[in-house]
Amino acid sequence: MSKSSGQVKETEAQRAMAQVGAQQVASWKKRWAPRLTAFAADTEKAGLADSAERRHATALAGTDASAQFGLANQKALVAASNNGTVGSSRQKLALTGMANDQATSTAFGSVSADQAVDDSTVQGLQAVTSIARGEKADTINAMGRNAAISGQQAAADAQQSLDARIGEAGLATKIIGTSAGMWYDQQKEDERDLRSGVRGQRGYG
Amino acid sequence: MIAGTSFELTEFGAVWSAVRDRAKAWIPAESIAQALVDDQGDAAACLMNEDGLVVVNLEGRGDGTMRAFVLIAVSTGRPGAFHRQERAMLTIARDLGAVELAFRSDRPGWLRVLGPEWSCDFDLFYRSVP
Repeated sequence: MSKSSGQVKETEAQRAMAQVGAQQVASWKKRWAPRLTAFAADTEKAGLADSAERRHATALAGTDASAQFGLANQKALVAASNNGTVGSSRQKLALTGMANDQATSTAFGSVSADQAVDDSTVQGLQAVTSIARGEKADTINAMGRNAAISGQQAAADAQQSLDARIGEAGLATKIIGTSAGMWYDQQKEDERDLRSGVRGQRGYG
Repeated sequence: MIAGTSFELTEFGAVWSAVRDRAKAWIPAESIAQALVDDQGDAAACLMNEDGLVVVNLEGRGDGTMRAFVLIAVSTGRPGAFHRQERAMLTIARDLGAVELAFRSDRPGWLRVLGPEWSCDFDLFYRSVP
């Protein structure tokens, strides 16, 4: 299937038929053109600087961070309550650190979401050629995936922040396990305080 | 999807570069040039799906009816593309108003691939559109 038609349009009748054929194809393409136009237009519109898709993705990034860090704050509060350190400097340290992490996560999420929209636009414009390479073109779905990625990123950031800040503030062991375990942790904590307080006097050097 | 097939309508000039390397070894430059000119002038339609790219136009037959002529066909290399897409091409040919589907090739291997519905006249292969 590699050669041109090879038909030499010699006669007036053949030229007329060729014209009719061309007009018929043009008319057929016009009939189906809306599908192609809609596909390209949707992709390009979504990639514009202030498009609804871009605003939606970046706004979701901030909302995701708020929701996930809100849950993390609650867990930190439970940890402080279990340990009896509510209102202590250690608890405040953990909450302040998490607030900083949330700001970072929100900013990072927004930039990521913004970049993801750019990527999806490029992906969309390449989708047509991807079909020719035998790859699947699921561009429009990619826009939806951006929001899901944003949520997953915020959740991961919040969990990481909770782990790190709670550890830094010395609350980590207090939320683990049974009351017996908590008692054991408390004993170790008291022992450390005692040691530091009476260093030298009791000969711990 | 065009005419109920898996083909999408696209612009030849925009997608040719994606398949050029695969096709240029055995598609003559004149066919490529004709496909580009015809597609830009809306005298041909460039279609793609998961099996590859097809450029088709309409030619008049001696009896005043039309033949859908495949100017270029490039598969992605997955075996069986012709048999998978023959029905879709017939559907598109019918949708275009053609009574016959045809292509030219000097590769004799087509004789083994094509079914009994196909006829051959030197390098022209053709069959009626049901």
